[in-house]
Amino acid sequence: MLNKNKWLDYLLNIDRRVVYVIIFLSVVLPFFLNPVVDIQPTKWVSAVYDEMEEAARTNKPIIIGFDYDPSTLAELDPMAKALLRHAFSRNIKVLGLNFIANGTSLAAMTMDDVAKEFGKEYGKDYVFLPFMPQYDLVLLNFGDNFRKSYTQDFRGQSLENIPMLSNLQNYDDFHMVIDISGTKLPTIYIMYGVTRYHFKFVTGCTAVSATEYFPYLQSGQMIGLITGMKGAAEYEGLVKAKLNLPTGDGMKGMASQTWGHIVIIIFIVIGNILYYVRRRMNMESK
Amino acid sequence: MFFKKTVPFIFTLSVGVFSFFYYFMPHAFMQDLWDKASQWAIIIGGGAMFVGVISMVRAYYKRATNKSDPNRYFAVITIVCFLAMSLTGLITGIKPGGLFNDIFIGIMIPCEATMFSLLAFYIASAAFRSFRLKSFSAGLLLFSAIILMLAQIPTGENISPAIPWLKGWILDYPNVAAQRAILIGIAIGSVATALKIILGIDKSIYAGVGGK
Repeated sequence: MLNKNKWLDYLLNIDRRVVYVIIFLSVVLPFFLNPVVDIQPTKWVSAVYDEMEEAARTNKPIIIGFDYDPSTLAELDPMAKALLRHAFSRNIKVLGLNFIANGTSLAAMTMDDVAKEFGKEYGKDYVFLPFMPQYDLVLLNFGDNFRKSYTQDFRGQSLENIPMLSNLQNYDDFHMVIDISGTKLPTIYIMYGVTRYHFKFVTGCTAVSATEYFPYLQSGQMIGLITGMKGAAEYEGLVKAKLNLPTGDGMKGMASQTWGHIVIIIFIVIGNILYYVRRRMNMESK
Repeated sequence: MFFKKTVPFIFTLSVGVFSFFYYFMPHAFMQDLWDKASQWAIIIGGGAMFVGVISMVRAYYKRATNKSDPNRYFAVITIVCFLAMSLTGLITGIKPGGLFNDIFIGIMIPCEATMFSLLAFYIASAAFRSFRLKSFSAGLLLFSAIILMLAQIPTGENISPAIPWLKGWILDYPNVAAQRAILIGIAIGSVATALKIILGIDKSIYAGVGGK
């Protein structure tokens, strides 16, 4: 009995560094395994894919808001790249926006890298507008003419000298707006943009913040939702299945996410079993 | 008191009433006024960031020069890094390929990503120590958490197609019901607070009122 108690105490008060090492191994080792390749997409991810195809059919550009910083880079950059790859492979022009100062360079880098893969030219196939404070006013002004808020692009060129923007003025000239963010910005897009100008809106968000966007999906103010690393992997899977494009970091990261989640679930189960054994023993000893 | 209380109140009231009418009256005259006002607001927003920077430097300078504070060296590092980045940006520019951008990509991104990644370790440790089935409510939370974690990985759909379906049901019904209640509560609270500020009932935002 004493020995059993000793073991229970040891396991219940196990050094947290042991837990950290197990988590570390469960996340790092799967990087060396074959990537996951078969994931069923949710209806909201499929809806984004279909809408992108519709943009290709109508030959209208899209807006992508890259509103994430390095803290959520691992989760959101794969979906940004997957969306850009799909857009560029179907010759859809992309206008990039950014309202998070820390994410400006990241967004520019992501757009340039993916554009290079598809041989796309800055100014003709894609443009990135610089960081702007007071996003609510910028989004309202965009409904009339985005030149009211922006005079130059991220590279300092005058908007008047950029061929892609010559016939673009406001939301009506774009097929849809996508905001990729781990912040509250997608809600701001809905409050100041969708409510007033009724454009098609899609959100890409971290898995932890996905729950708050479901009311907007039900109300139709949001037509699609990509959540976390799995959402990116689902989108990559769709693009690979239908357009035969290679998968990216989303699929690669799913192996680590899978093992990370399984280990946490095992920890929860073991923790509860130990808790119940300890409680039962305490009751018996009384 | 006139400049600290009455003038800000007149400005707040006029801007609040104007913004309200602009939203519902898209007349050309209102649009022109709005265009000018929004340009002002964007400039003021940029200015506010500058004020924030000054405030930050003052606070950290005070801490760095406080010899009784054992953590004052962190404040010194903050000021040095701030000055280094600001000067680099001002001298070399912030365009891609420049030194400023290289420092951001080489130092800032790995540091910030690492800080956020540490969450996974804390969550695992907390899950093992505190996520206990102690009551019915805790059971509901535990059950939902396990279903959502399983559904967020490919293993979930391999175990049973019911797991992704259950995740969808939890998110579409109980989650939406709770989120809507929260959203409506926040919206009503925001309208009430905005009205109190615009009509001058809540004066705590004005300088010298409600503060020290």
